[in-house]
Amino acid sequence: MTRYGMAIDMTRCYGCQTCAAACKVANNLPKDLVYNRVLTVGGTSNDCAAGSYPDCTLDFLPMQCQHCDKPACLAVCPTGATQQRDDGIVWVDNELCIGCESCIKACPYEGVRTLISSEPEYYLDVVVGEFDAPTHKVGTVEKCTFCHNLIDRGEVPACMQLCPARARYWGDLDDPESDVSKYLASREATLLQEEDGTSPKVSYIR
Amino acid sequence: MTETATSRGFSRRSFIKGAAALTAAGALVGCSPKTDDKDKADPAAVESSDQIFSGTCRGNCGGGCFLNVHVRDGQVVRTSARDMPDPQYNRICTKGLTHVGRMYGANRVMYPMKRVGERGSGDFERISWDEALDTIAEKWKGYTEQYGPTSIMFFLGSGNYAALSGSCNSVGAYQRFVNVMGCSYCSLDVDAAVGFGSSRATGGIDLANELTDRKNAKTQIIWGNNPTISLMHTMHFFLEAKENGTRFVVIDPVYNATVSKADWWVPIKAGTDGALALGVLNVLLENGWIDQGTLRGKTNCGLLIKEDGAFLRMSDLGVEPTKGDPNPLTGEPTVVDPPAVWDEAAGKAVAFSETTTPALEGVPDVNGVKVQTVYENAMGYISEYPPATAASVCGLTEDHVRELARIYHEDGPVTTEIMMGMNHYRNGHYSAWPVYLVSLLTGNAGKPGAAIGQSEEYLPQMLYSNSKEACSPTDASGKPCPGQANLIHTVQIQDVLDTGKFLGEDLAIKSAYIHCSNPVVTMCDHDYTTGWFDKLEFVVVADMCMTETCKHADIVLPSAHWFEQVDLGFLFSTHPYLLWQDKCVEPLGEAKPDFQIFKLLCEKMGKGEFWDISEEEYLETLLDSEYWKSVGCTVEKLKNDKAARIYPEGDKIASAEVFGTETGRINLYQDTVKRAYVSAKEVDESIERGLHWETPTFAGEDREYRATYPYHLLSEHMRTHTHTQWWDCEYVKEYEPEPIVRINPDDAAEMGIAEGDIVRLSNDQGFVVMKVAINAGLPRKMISSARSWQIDDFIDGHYASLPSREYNQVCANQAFNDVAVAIEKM
Repeated sequence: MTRYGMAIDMTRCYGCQTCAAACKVANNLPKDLVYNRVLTVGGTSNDCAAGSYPDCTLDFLPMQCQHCDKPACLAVCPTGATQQRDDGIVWVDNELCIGCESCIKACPYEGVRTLISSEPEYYLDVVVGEFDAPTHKVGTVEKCTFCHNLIDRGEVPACMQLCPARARYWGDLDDPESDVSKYLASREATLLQEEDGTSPKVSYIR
Repeated sequence: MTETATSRGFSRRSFIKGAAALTAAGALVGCSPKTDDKDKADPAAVESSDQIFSGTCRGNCGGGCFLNVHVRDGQVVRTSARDMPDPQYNRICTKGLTHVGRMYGANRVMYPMKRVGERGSGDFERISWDEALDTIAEKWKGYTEQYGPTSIMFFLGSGNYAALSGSCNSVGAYQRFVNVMGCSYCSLDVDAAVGFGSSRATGGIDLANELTDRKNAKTQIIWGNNPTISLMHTMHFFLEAKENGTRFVVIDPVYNATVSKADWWVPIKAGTDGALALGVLNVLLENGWIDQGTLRGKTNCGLLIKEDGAFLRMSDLGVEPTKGDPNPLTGEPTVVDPPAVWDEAAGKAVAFSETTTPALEGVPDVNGVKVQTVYENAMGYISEYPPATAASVCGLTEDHVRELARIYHEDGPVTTEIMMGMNHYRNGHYSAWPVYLVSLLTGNAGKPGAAIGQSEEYLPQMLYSNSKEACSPTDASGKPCPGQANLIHTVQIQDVLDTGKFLGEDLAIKSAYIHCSNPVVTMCDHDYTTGWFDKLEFVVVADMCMTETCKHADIVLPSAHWFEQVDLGFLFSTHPYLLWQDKCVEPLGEAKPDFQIFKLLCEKMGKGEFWDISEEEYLETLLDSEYWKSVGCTVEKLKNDKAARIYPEGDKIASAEVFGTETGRINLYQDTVKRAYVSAKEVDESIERGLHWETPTFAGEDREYRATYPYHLLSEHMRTHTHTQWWDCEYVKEYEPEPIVRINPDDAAEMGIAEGDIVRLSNDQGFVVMKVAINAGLPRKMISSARSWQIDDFIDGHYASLPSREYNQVCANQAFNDVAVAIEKM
């Protein structure tokens, strides 16, 4: 069985936001909607270190829906809008979503979902992104789709197409020959908030 | 040719599949995310019918990324990374990914415009191309009649490193325009100190190895470079080498993302790199780590300096100079009068090339002339920087200095990567010379894993292109075009405008044409720049978007976006490829490629016969040289493959056998002082001939200026702007929304400043007001901010008003990092 997942090497990531921008444009995301972002682990602002000079720390954490094997969001969705595909991808059918935010409250991860609270506005008058990018509707909740539109065409998610740091690995976690499986076999990975028991499928190497 | 392909990159298989989809599934064309009818059928059956073109991103960030440009219904909808011949060079970033934001953004210049309000006001009115060209031609013809063609000044930036419509220094088609017009030319003088200073050691040869060679280094030293921000596509090479066992050392005043990956960080006080290098040289010499063979045979240390500072030459000893090979530039024969050395064995002075064992010290008077060896001269200076002194100047410990020396001696091969950190100081060239000597005298150049320099590639393009024919056309009768009239430096323009004189000759500048540049923002001293700009009678700016500079123009011409024309990505990329730009879509509105604008202007000026050349013909001419043929860089190959390597296959490893100096050896002293610019000011050559170092002019901790303006302001690049480009792209504001100044937390606490507070930075030149971010990665009394915003982005004032426009006495260089300010909480 295919079970898509991702690994991110934080020892490589230097916070360039390329994965975030690739996602933004490929999915034709409106102004206030982000599926994927790179957080600075250090000071309060982007790219600012913590500590006391010269003893400082600065890391970067790419953050998105973790596409959990046991998604907390799935159980609480009252309309069946939140669904899990056979390949493990968790997605929201915006025809069924009523924007009740149950999934946002249930999800152990902060900031990976967004309720589109008003008519979406775009930076440009023209439509950009993949021809089959998700539609964006007011009153619905959106999040990372693992770009299943691209995956279904044999491609990889937009954020995986080119990481300048070569910090991201993708593929079928059940296939030992996939990029992500081979990579994870060689490195010790951690999961975010593993204790919440949702079995996320994005692994981090610190 | 267009391709239909997956966004991972074009492949023949996907092309065939895609082509089938185009014909068989035409109904898919026009499917767009906003049509709400996305069917729920098995999406696996759906294939993108977007057309994929080859593109190159080329705004002088050093990336030069190879892109897939995705086009649907005649409009660019997306960009993605395209496979390079060597996929290690595959690359893209937030900027390359958001071209749609520039192409279709609100600030795009769509039509020719004329100014109807005050300069800088932004009040413009749409005009036709005919009116724009007629107005320009009428003005320029009038000025030419009255004052000559030099009354028109061409100003070039680095906004587009492509050969046709871009800014490729001396090889781009713009140079043909300049040469045809016979106009004045103004240089923006940036990033010049390291090249100027290092060439004193090297004679200007390339000592950088290709990025793919970093795996061969035992130690990688990043010196004054923050690749995670400024050259992000070089970083994975360093990290891979690090994981493979290469020690990753970073010399930088700021704990930044690059430093966060370092095995060892040398937290140097900003601007003191030269003192550190002198300290390292001191340790190397003290320990005998620079062998005699190197000093005698590979450097000019044996040369003899007379009391007047000039070398003792064979003509001083009665040997008549001979004629050498003609100077390739002038055709004039050169005079060969070799410098002399003291041959210890023979006990006499001989030409430097005649002995392998020149004396390094204690040479007696030669024919009654008192002499000092270059070695003695250099040692005299280096001895002023014992490790304790160097450490004190640099804010380091003696151990830092000694360990760095040990690394260069023992832990080679060492690759030293240098960028703009030390480059952006007024007197940065004094640092670059000793820094290069550390690498060269320890044998860390010219071998796999051993190199020094920057990773941007440009030398074959500059040296081996047929720019003579491409840029200097003849008329129908074979008469050459007039050629560029002069070379003015920004620091001189105001004086030229005030006096009508340039270097003693009459020069009345009346008009300027600004190409690929936003000088009002990027040049140091904003008031000065707007001052000379607004003093010009008639300014034409060609640009894609309505920059701050455009707002000071009389006429703004709409330049086509990079993807709206054929072109060739050519210069200053950190990869070894020329990259083909397909014309992907029609220019928006009435925009035109700059190459076509030049043609129209030439025609209007009655010089059309000099521009009887198509885009492809220009490129064919440019690449018409033995070198380009030898490496297979032809227009045909580029059109087919879209990429062509500029070097033979295999890692490019620089040669450090013969240097470009007079002796072919490493220089520790020069008796002729080259000036990067001519000025009327007297030059103190005594500090330019040999090693010399001084603290930054404004930012140096010992400078009186710092007593009034206590904070050293480091000028940074941004992740999401290339210089000022992408200021107009809304997408990237999600990551860097506004100008900020970063401040050390203890400094901030002392001033009662918190995250997000508004502060005013000021010095005796100007001020700017912006928001604060607290950054513990900064040392005390040092702040940092990006110099990439337009005037409207600041709460008040202008960042470019803070750095001084003045140059060092011999090096013309915009000193973005040599800035000190006071901070006031608003």
